[in-house]
Parts: sequence; C-alpha cells; structure tokens
Amino acid sequence: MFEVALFPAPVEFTLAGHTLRLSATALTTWWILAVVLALALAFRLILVPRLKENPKGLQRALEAAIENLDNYIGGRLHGAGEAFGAYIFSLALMLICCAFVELLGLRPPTSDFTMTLALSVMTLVLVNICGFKRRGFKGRLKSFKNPFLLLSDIITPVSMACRLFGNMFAGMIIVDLMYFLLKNFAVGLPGVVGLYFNVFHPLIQAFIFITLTLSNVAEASEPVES
Amino acid sequence: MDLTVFAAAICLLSCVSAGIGMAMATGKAVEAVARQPEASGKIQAILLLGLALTESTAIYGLLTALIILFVKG
Repeated sequence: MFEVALFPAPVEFTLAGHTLRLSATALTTWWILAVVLALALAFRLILVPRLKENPKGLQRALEAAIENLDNYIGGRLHGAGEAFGAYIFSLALMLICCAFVELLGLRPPTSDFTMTLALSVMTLVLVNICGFKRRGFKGRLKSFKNPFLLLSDIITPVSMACRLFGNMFAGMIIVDLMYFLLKNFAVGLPGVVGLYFNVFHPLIQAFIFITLTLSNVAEASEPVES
Repeated sequence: MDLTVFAAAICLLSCVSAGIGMAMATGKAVEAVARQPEASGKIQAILLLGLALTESTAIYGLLTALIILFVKG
C-alpha cells in the first residue's frame, strides 16, 4: 500500500556531543539557503564591481528587469518603498528553489506545513508593519472598526499557508503515486507529468502566493480616504 | 468495500463545485472585458485573485481526500 507521512521523518545527527533532531525538509531548506546565499555572494563580489557607468548588453537587460520589477511593485503598493522589490524577489526565488528541489528527488520544503505557515506569518507581519507605517497608529486601528475585518486579517495567513501546503503536498503525492504505480516501467511518462506537477504548477503557486502577499499589503497600506 | 474510499470520493465533490465556480467567474470576466475592454487589466487582476481563492476550495478537498487515502495514521 502506498503511504505518505504528513510531516517528514526527523533526521538525527550529533554536533559537538549534542544530538540534534531536525526534520528532513528543514535540512533541505538550509541547503537551499546556503546555495542561494553563495550564488548571491558570488554575484555581489564578482559581477557587481564590473558593472559600468554606461550599461551595455547584459547589464542593460538586468537593469531594465530590476526597474520593471520595482515599477510593477511600486504601482501595486501605491509607491510603498523599494525594499519590497527585494523581499518579493527573494520570496519568489525561495518558493521556486523549494519546489524545484523535488526534481533532485528530495521532499520539497514547501510541502511541510510549518514552512508555509512561517512564510505566511511573515506576510502577516509585513501587512501590519505597512499598515501602521502608512496609516498611522490611529488610522490602522480605525480600519478595524468592522470586527469582521479583524477576523479576515487573522484568517488570511492560515488560508495562504493551507493553499500553498495543499498544492505542493498534492503535487508531491500525485508524482509519488505515479512512480509507485509504474514501478520499474517509470520511463518517459514521469518526464511529461513531472513537467507539469514539478515545474509549471509550482511556478503558478509561487505567482499566486506573491500576488496574494502584494494585494494584502496594498489593501493595508492604502492611504485613508478623507 | 472499505468506507474510507467512499469518504475520499465525497471529499472530491468540492472539486466539482470549484470547477463550476471558476467557470462562472471566468464567464463573467469575459463578459466584463467584452463590455469594457479598457478595464481588462484590472479585471484580470481581480479574476486571478478570485480564481486563486476558488481553487483553494478544490485544493482543500483534494488534500483531505489524499490524506484520508494515503497518510499513515
């Protein structure tokens, strides 16, 4: 019978005499973070010093891409700061890397509920920071005049976490089920099905997660109409 | 027959309702764009958000069914 664990089995290892228990997905997340950080550091140390005052070729394309991203996010958020571009980009990179890890045969970290809950709690914190910053303390509290709005603010991270977790977990189970059913004949077909469930589907989910983050922040940071 | 399979089938009814809901939303969006082509950007953004919210009901149903069937107790 085909079986899947809802939470991945913990990995035990000893570090300086202490036995540590970590879930396998947390370990995968740390690996992803290390690789992405190393790439970013290499980018900063090798490529950025070689950028020229008058952009040409690749540098021009890069600058245009960053400017377009900033414009898109600034337009969505009523001009709420440039730091958002960096946050949204790193969120997208994290989600996509986490999903593509499955192509290497590991369990994707986003199919662990704790990871998706952490990401959506980050969104909740961001929403509140932007709300208090843009509207002021009183203005933000005034937007909770209707108690149902407070409820929707609390529910939003749970629903975002459940959506991402459900999509990733379902995709993982479907691919695993296919391998289980095909047994030794798993040639060719997994490439086609995996292209959808491991590549296309996570990209859509990352886009939806980002769109929801942006629209929640935009809703909270809208200037008060007087 | 095992009753858990039947329970999983009931869970998957949510996919049917989500399909109907998404079809209705898309149809209305097409109507709206046909009436006001200049507002297509805004309509698209709202439609995408609505589809994401509608799809999540289907996903919850599918997830519950998969957990009933395959997750070990």
